[in-house]
Amino acid sequence: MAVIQATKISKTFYNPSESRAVKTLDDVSFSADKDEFVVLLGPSGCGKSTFLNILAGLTSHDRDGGKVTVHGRTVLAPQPDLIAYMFQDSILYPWRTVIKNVELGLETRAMSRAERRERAFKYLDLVGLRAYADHYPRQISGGMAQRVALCRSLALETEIILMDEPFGALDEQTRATLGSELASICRELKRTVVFVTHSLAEAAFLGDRIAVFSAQPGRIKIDIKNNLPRPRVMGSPEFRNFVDELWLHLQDAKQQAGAAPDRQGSPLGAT
Amino acid sequence: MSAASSSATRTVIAIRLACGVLALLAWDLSLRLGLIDPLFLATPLQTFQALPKTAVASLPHIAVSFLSFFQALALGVGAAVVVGYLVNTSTYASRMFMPIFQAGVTLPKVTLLPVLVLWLGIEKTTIITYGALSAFFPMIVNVAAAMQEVKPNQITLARSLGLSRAAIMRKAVIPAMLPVLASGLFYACNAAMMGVFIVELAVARVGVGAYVHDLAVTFRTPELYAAVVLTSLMTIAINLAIWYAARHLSKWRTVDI
Amino acid sequence: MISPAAARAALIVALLAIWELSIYLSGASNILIARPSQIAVAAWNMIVGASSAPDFYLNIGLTIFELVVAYAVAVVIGLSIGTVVANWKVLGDALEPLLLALYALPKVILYPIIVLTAGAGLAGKAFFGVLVGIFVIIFNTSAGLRQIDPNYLRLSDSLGFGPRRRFFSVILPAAAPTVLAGLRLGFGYTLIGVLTAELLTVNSGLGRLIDWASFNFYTPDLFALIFLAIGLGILGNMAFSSLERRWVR
Repeated sequence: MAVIQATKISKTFYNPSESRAVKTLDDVSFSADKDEFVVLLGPSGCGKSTFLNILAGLTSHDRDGGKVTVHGRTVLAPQPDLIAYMFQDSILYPWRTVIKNVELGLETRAMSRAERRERAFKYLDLVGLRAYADHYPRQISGGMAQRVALCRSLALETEIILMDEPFGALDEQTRATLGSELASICRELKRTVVFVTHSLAEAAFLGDRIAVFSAQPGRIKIDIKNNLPRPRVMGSPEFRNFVDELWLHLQDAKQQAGAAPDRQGSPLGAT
Repeated sequence: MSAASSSATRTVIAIRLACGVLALLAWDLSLRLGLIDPLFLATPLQTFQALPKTAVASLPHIAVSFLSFFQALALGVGAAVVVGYLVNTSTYASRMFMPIFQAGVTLPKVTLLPVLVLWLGIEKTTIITYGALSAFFPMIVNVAAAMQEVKPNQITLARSLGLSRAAIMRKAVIPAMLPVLASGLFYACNAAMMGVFIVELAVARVGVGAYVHDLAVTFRTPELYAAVVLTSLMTIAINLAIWYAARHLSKWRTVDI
Repeated sequence: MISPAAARAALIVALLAIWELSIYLSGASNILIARPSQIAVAAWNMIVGASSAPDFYLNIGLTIFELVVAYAVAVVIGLSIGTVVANWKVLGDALEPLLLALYALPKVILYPIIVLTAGAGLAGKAFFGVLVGIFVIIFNTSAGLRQIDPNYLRLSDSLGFGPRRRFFSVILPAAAPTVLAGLRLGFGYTLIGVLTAELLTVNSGLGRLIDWASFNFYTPDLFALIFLAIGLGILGNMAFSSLERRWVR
C-alpha cells in the first residue's frame, strides 16, 4: 500500500531577469510503499532534488491538478509528524551542542525534557555518538555531523524520511561507511525512505527500488526493482551487473535529453 | 604542560600588577618631582582619601547621568534594531543605505551639538538625543552584520522540522544573531556614555559630566580625581560586563577544536 | 535598474531639495535652521574671506594640524603596541583586559584632567585625539597579525623565504585588510576626539569657529562649519577606501 503518492507533478521556475519559464519537472508520478527504500537516481540538474522538496512540502508545485498525498492527506507544507527531511549538508546549529541539535525537532512536540533527552540519546547510541553529546558542531568531523543530522531526522520517528544526497558532501570512504550504517538502521527501524543520489553504487546498495530520472524536463524514465539479496556486498558480480544496468539506463536518459533541442534552457537559469 | 601554563599565568599576573604599580608610581612621582603643579594634580593618596566624600556628593549626579544613559541607549539601540532590520531585509536597500550608516560611525557628530542645543535647549532631551545618536550608528552596523550570520539553510531546516515563525525566530534567527548583537551593544553602550558625558561637560548643570567640570574649574583637585576615578571604574565595569557577556554568548564560535 | 550608489546619491540630492523647499515654503525661523542655498553662500563667504568669521583659515589650519599630529602619534604608537601584543603571547594576554578597560572607558570624562595637566592648547587636544583614536588601531593591528593563516607562514618557510621577504610578501598582505580598516576607523575616531576637545574648550580651531557661529546665531555659518567638519571625515574615509581598494584585493 502506498504511503506517499505523487500524481502528475510539474514544476516551472520563472527566471525574472530573462523573463522566461524553465520547466524542471514534467508530469512526474511516483509512489512509495510502506517500509520501502526508494532511490531517485539521475544526473545533476534533472530536478530530482526539486521533486524531493515538493514531496516534503518545502517547495510548491505547479497548480495544474497534480498533487502529493501522504496516507491520502494532501501535502502543501512541511509535515514534521509524518515526514522527516535530511539535507546534503548537515545544517547543525553551531550554537547548540550535538544532543541539543538532535532534540531540535522534538521541541515543538508535547514531550517532557527528560523524554526528549532519552529519545535523543537512543538515536545517538544507534550511530555511536553518545560520547559526543555535549560537543559543539565545530568540534566534530563532517561524517560525524552528518550522523548527527541523521539522528535528528530519525528522532522525529516519522513514518517517512526523505534524504537529499545526504552523503554527497562526504569523502568516499566515510560515504561508504555511512551508507552501510544507514542500510542496517533501516532494516532495524522499518521506515519508508525516499533517497536522492547521483551515485550508481549508492543507489544499488541502498534501494529496494530505483526511479531513474531524465533531465530537461525532469521525468521518471524507468522504475526498476532491485532484487539483490541483503546484506549486499559492494564488489560482488551481481552487484556490478546491477550497477552496469543502472548505468545504461542513466546513459539512455542523458541521450534522450541531449537529443531534444535545448529550448528549455538550463534548469538553473544560467545567467 | 600544567606547570608551564601556571608559570605563564603567574607571568601574566605579574605584568598586570607591574602595569598598575608603574602607573601609580608615575602619577605620584610627577607630583613629587614637581613636574606638575599640585593645583592641577592630586596625589593617589589624596585622591583615595577624597573618595568617600566625593562618592556621597556625586551620587545624585551619577543617578542623573545613568538615567540619561539608559534612556539614550534604549532609544539609540531600539531605533538601530528596527531600522537595521528593515534596511537589511532587502539586498538593494542594504547596499543603498548601509554605507551612510557605516560612515556615520566615525563622522564627527559632536559638531551637531550646538545645533541640538539650539533646537532642544539645555535640557535632558538634548542629552538623550545626542547619546542616542551616538549609540545608533555602531549598533546598526552590528545589526547588519548580525543578519549576515543567519544562514538561509538554517531557516530551511527549521521549516522542514515544522517550526512556527515564532519558533524559527526564537530557535534559529536570534541565537545566530546574538553574539554580534551583543558586541554591537558593547560599542553602542560605550558611545552612548561618551555622548551623555560630552553634553553634560559642555552645557549641563547636573550629571557626572557637569559635576566633574565644576570640580575642575574650581580647582577642587582631589575631589576631581576621586570623581573621575569613581566614574571610570563604574563605566568600565558596565562595559566590560557586556564585553564578557558577548564573549560568553559567542563561545560556540570560538570553542576549541 | 539603477545602482544602489546612484540611488543613494539621488536620495541625498532629493533630501537637500526637500530641505530647501520646506524651509523656504514654511518660512521657518532663520535662527533655528538655514536652507542649503544659504549654507552654501555662507560657506563661500567664509572661503573668500567675506564673512566675519574670526581667522577662518588659521583656525581651520590649526584643527587640521592638531588632527595630523594626533593621528601620526596614534598610528605610530598604535601599530607598535598592536605588533608587540600580537607577537608576545604572554604580554598580549596580560595587557588585553587592561587595554580593553581603557577602550571601554568613555574617555571624555578624562578631558577636564587632561586640560588641567596638559593645558587647553595643542598638546591637550592632540593628546585627547590620540586617546580616542588609538585603541581601534591597536586592536585591529593585533587581530590582523594574529589571524594570519598558519599555512601561509608554513608555505613561506617551505619556500625558504628570509624574514624580510616573509614579512613583505606574506605577513603584510595577509594582515593588511584588518590593519587598514583599523587605520581608517582610527582616523575617524581621532577626528572625533580632536573636535570634541575643541568644542569643549572653545578657544581655537574649528571649535572656536563653531562657537562663534552658534553664539551669534549665525545659523547658515554654523551649518557650513558642521558640513566642513563632516566633509573632513568623509574625505579621510574616501582616501582610506581608495587605499584599501588598491592594496587589498
